[in-house]
Amino acid sequence: MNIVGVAASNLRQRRVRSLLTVGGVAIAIAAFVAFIGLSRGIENTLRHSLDTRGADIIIVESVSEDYLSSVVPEELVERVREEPLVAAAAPELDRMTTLADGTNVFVVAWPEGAFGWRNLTLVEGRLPTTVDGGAVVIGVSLAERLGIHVGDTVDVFFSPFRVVGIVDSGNVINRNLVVGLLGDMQTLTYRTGQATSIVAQLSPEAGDDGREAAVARLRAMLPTYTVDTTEALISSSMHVNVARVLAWSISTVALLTAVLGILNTMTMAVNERRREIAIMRAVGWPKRRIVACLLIEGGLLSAIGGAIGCAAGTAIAWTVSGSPNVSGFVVPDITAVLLAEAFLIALAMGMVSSLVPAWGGARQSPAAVLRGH
Amino acid sequence: MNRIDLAISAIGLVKHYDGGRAKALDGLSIDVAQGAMIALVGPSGSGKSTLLYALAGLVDLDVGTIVIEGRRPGGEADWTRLRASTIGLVFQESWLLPTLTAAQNIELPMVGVEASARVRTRRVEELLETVGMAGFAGRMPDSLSGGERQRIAMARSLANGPRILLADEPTGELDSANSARIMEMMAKLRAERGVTMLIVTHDPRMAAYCDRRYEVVDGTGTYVD
Ligand SMILES: Nc1ncnc2c1ncn2[C@@H]1O[C@H](COP(=O)(O)OP(=O)(O)O)[C@@H](O)[C@H]1O
Ligand SMILES: [Mg+2]
Repeated sequence: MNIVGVAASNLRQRRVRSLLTVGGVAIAIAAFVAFIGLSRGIENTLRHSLDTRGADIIIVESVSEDYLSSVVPEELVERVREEPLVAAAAPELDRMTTLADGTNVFVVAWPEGAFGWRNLTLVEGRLPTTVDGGAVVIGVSLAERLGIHVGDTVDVFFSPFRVVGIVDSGNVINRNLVVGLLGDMQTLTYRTGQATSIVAQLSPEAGDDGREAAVARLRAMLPTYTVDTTEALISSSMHVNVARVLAWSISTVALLTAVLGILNTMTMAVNERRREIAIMRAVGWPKRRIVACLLIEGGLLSAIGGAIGCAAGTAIAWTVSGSPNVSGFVVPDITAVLLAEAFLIALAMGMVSSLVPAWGGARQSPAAVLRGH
Repeated sequence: MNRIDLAISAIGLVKHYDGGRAKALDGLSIDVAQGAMIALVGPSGSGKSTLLYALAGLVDLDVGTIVIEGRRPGGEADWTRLRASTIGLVFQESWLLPTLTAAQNIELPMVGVEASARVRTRRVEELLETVGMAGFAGRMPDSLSGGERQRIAMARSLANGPRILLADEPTGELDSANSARIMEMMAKLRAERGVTMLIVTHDPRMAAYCDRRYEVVDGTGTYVD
């Protein structure tokens, strides 16, 4: 037997209270892992989605907070092409729509020949042309989920489109995309002549400095529009910010609740055990060993809670990301670092919130407790 | 008697509670010879428990000097070391840690003192034997009777081989058969190992096992025989 053994036997003998505290810590850590993982996932998948479509710079309407609601004239692309470092530019129309099976999909449209098409990898079939009149390609994951093959039709904005190809790219959003021709989508969504954004690809020799310079010149040239690199646009996106703020605030509340839980458990543990602590002092245990013993108790509770929380949070995040409403948009970004952070937060929480009651307990006068009466 | 031969020498102990309204110790002095077995007697509330715990360094005295085996403990750390080696305590109610087994309770004082787990286990077995509780090692305290618990508490107080044993009404909660058993055990310890004993008791039959009686009244006291 050692002090860890004494601490563990306390937790084992007071099983119900130990389990409740572990549960509280686990819930808090699970919330932390799930919310942070999902919000980072949202950000990553959005960024990656634009990256893999090859856009370096995006020009959107200035007034719109959310880039999906931006409206820019298609002709703006001509001005963007005037910038010498722009290798290619195209209008892009992005919409969300709900398919017959109730899942949400992202619909992207470019003109025929736009650079975005070249970044899609065809798995099957071919790309649509204006000659087809109402053709799209769809991402592999979406095709699989809907059981659609080349030659089948899919209803987009309540109109039947023929699927002429199935595409892949390394990104979850892109695997769930529907990509069509700008003209078709403009007509269907009553946006003739309009796009959501102008996307531009810089020439390979531009480099970081060139990119900054190009953004600066485009901003000067187009003062009434917002010109940003893809990354900057994503991190300033309202959706991403809301997700981030929500994630942090909810997990902070959850963590604070868990701290109160441990504080409560340890305060009760110390109060109930005034006599036991006095006995330990009476048999020659130094105060710091008694404090260490109580800290180990708090640490064990929070370590177990933290481990369960990490596992549960990961499971929750993946379950949420698989639900029909968001499926195909979010892949939780739960890294080893995030899990390690969560576990250390749990441990620190347990230690810190046991420290105060432990010190208080070890300092009580043993004689007052032991003399009876 | 030479002061060096004293196990305990306390001079002018004062401990007041509640701003002086309760004078638990009011200038009490006591010398206890090495190997003596002393009964501390006196009315309830006279300061016997406070004296006993003060002699173990567990009371923050207002005034007073305590010398243990010729040396004056310098502070918290000294007292902690003394309790872990020289001074054993037995309380009125046989207070054991409820989450530990009988054997683990006896082992408790050895944690951090005796490093070898094998030595600890062997000593626990010997102590269980000494108090007539061999075979009770794995029992939890709440499955033991009051007398059995007090014998385990007794074994615990002996874990690190103390030379001084301080007992606060060790038989206070026990029937006469169990009380006699505890007292005989203490007398035997004194006879075999020369352990100095200070025992608070109300019971004249228990006091009869002792060499002398020291009576505490209103926070002061004297030997009465
Ligand atoms: N921690 C304490 N707080 C307040 N009063 C105390 C405390 N400890 C002892 N006393 C008082 O000191 C006196 C002596 O108590 P105690 O030493 O327990 O007596 P005894 O053991 O002889 O019955 C009593 O009046 C008691 O109420
Ligand atoms: Mg008393």
